[in-house]
Amino acid sequence: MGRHGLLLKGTWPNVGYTDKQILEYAIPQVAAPLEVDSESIEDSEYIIPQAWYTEGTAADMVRDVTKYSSWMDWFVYDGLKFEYRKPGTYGKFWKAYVGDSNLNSLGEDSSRLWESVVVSYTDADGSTRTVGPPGSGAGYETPELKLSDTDHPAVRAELTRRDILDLRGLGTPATAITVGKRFLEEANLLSRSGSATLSGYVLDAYGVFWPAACVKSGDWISFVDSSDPSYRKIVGKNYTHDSRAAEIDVDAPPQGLEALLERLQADLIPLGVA
Amino acid sequence: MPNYPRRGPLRRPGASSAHRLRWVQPPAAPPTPSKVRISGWHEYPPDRIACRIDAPNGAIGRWAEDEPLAENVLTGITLSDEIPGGCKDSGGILARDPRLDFRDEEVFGRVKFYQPGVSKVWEGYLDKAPDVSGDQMSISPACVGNQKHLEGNSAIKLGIIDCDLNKWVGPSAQRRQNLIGGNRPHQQEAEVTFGPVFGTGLRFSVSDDWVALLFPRARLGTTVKAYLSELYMGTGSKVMATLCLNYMFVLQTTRLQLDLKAQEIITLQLVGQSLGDQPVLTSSTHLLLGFIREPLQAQRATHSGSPLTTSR
Repeated sequence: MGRHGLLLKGTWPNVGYTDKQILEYAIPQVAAPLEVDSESIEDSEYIIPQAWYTEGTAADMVRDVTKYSSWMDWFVYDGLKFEYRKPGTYGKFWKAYVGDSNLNSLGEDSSRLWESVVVSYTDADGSTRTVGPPGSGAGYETPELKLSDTDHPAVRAELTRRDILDLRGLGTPATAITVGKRFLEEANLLSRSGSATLSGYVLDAYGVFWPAACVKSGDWISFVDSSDPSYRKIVGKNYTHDSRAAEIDVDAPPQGLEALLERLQADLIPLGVA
Repeated sequence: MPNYPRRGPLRRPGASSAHRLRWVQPPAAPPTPSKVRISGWHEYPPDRIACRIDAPNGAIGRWAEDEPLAENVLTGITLSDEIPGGCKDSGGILARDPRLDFRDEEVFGRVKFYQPGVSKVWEGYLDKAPDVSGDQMSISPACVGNQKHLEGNSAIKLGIIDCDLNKWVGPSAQRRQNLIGGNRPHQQEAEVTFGPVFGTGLRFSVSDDWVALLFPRARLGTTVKAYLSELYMGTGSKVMATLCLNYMFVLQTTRLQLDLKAQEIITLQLVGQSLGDQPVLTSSTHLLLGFIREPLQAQRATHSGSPLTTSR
């Protein structure tokens, strides 16, 4: 343990610190002038067993700490305040039309539809271990790493669509399962990813016009006349003032898989389709 | 873009006599009907963007398309952000003579882009102000979001918790030198072993004479807290295990639950803190031994005595 005086969480041997504890302590130490306060950092309550950084940047540290709860968002919007929040608890909700906004959805791709995943990691003693779904032959098998949703195309077709997710650095069975579950959930979201262009003005959830520049990443947008009018998360925005147009990425950026693997600090080793 | 007045705040018809007059005589080109059905017509809210810059030298500048001075007119504004991350980068073009110095153009100046109503849409700092040559003299300031402060230091040193047993190594050259000065005959590498002990558990032990000099000889009556803080401030991360060792010894001498606590290295520190005022009862070199990630139940079932063994 470092000389930080943080209160250890968990029950032996699954002990560590939560992401809130680590970020609250670390950001002022290694990323000044950024600031944190207790309200700007929410707690995912996941206990992180390994957090030791002797090289790299604070951004690398933040990505590593937040990879276990990659559904949470971290950002610096308000001055120098570093924030770590649950999606939907901040930002605005917008409405737009498919035709006006040139919505392009990526659609489903069999190469990105995983129904299960095997996670490989390096144990504390230096050996490589694996966790995976039942029948995968992994060192530790758990049904948590296999989807059972019958709406999933690979599950419906009864196909095995599985790759190996290789965690960089040290891990434990618990962290490997957590990252594997996050991967399955978020990788299958890539089918909903897409891009759109908001020109001029955009309506908020109350029907009020706002300039397109006010749309921010982390907000949510609904394309009310699309086949799926549910709210989608905006993950990227490029605004050009000359044309008053904001190009947005929804749910996942076009290069989503690479971004997801970067967030999870993992590499994907393809096994192919069985 | 629609050909009708777009500047000024959002007004509803009937708010004043002037507006009533305009409502009676609408402009020749009405706006494109909105897909939201609202009776009457409304002006769009203004969408001008202005940039305020606070330079480190104290200068304050305002760059915007409505600035009266040509050198402060900012065109070609681009803004971007991302999640995770927040504000990413921004840019624009200022019609300025690159041969002149402008006080508000200093790198690291804090930059904020505002919409009318002082609604902030982007925030960061000035990263670059390169010259641009061409048919007109201009510069293109480039700004980055405050998330870039996370990349300011590319060699951070931050230790929170480490369970990587492979990071244990032998003594450094300096420590070996100290060993010579301390008239220690044995200079061999520290022994670091891993292996399953009770099925799923791991056993980790480090032992040799290099451990000895990690422990300054404590005076009888020195408190644990004073002794450990001296160790803590004077050495590196390896001391963490030596801290555990000291706690073990204190726990042993105070007859606490040694068999329970000896395998819980991290818990030992917490327990040890509550013993901070206990006197250190030893001045000799001790064993350095820890049990990492070993299930307590397995340990109790198969190991009846103290888990401590001595290497000396």
